[in-house]
Amino acid sequence: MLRTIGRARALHAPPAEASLLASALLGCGGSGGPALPVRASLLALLAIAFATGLTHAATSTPPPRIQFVAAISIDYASGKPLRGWENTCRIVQASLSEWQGAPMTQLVVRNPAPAGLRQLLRQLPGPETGTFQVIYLAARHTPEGAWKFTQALDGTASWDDLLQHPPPAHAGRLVILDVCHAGVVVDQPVWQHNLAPAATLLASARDELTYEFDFSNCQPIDLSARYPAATAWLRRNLPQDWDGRLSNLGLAWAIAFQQTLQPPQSLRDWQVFFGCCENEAGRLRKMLGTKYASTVSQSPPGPR
Amino acid sequence: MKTNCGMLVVTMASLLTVSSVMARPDDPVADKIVDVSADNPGNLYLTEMREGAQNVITLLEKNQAAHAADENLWFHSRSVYSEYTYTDSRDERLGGFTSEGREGTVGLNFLTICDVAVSLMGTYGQIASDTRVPGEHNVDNGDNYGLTLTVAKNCDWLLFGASAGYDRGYFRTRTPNDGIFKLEPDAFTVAPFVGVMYVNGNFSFSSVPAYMFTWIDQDYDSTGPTSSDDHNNQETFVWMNTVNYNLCEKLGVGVVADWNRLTHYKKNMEAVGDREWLTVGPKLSYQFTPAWAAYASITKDLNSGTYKTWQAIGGLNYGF
Repeated sequence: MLRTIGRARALHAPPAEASLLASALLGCGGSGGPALPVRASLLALLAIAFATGLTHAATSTPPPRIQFVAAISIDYASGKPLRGWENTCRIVQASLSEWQGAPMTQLVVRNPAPAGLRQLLRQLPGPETGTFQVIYLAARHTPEGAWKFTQALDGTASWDDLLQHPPPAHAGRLVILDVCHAGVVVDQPVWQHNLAPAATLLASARDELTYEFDFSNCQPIDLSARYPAATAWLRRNLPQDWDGRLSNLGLAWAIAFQQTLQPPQSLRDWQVFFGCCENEAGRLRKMLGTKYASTVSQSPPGPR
Repeated sequence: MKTNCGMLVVTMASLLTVSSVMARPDDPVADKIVDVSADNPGNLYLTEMREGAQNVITLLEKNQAAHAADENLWFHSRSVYSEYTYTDSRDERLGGFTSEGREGTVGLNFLTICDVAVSLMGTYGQIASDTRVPGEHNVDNGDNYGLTLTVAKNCDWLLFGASAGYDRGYFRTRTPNDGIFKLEPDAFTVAPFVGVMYVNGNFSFSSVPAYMFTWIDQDYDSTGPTSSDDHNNQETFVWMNTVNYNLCEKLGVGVVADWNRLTHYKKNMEAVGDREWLTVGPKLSYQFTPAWAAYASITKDLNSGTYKTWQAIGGLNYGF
């Protein structure tokens, strides 16, 4: 509850003030005076939060509007379905909703055909629909940079083909490319000029595969034991019959989300968050080795 | 899981049978050795086939995670392993052999296109045997080299595949009348299999029947009056069952229970003892890191009236 209160105040009051008041009342660090008894502290905090809310109502800054768009190819005619990626799409949605704190504009397309994906990308909205446009893309992906569709007859389509008609420009367009060989798009002009994302989170380097993890199996590592907070959050935000599968990037996102108390307010904040995802994925890669974990990176490189 | 030693013992016993046909010695002890020879003649090749099948089954069980790449990956989910096997086998019949076998194996396991599992393994074994006849003993020793290729694929719970192997042996046997027999068998095996596998979280189970065809060309030479060769064809049905459970991040346990039946063998081996038997035992795995793991198992042949065989295996596996 305190964490939720803290987060709500963070949205509507300068962070320094919120932390100073909290530490003063609860005696948990900072430069405040002696701590009050717990119940009195909570009542005092609630009273101050209410008063602060009234005081700042006229001048509080609403959170940036986020629009979420996703295209995921899951049910391939041969080979394993990409259930882990479907679950990652859900938790990205859930995390954005939690940050938004209000209904969010979202569009999720499952198993698109080539024409449908082209249309989706061509008709991405402009900046009038949201400060940030988060696009999650997941499918089987070739080393040359082509999207593989679920229907065998549809084959593959390159990004040159899919993005030949560029969508309206959006300064807050953020793309999450959760595929194998994701890094190959960095050097593709059509990606930089036509889609023109402000930042791209890539699930793998150009020569890497990216796998899903299985929380229901304690080997090769026991993810539930090593990341209890992330696991609990995943169980709350995924269906009850969740099979334990999540993509490599999805796990890095979930862990980074747990560590991010302030929702991103600016493009720099998003780059910092993507950097957090990079770092968590790097730790996973150190633990698991290159056989199981891929290199998550962002393009352009984030702030140090 | 191998009972390599058992097969080598049988191979040498086969030698005595064949030699006795060609130049039967007038020796009651040797006669007895011949009469009790050639037991379970498919064991060596059977156990190599069984290990290859278990390698691909384990590979398919452990690689349930999907990846977001095009299916045409030729060489992924790779691992190499080395293994040491010790076998103790005793023929309980009068004049039967007591054998000790030591075998080293190196292997490569990987997935190829359409997630077909492949296991390639090479083996080298040495065996030393002695008969337990009062007042007499025959010493046998030999080397065996083997190469086995196994492929398999699963479609959900259904699993199918095949194994093919080649073995070359060099055995020397001294008989009671001071004859020395050299046996150098070439063996080819083919074993198709179809079964089921089930994986749910930390639990995995497989039940896979296989039918193995073995063709053995036995070139032998002796200090006796003649040398010759012989052919020995066998067919064996084996039903392989394995259960595994990951106790924690580091430790896994399992049980093996295989039922074996020799369905066809050469007619002059009418003294065949065990025609069907059960091989059971526990196994343990320890994962040092996600890449490195060690494993060990002990199996014993049950319901085998003639041969009392147990086997210990230890190995190291590296995934890359």
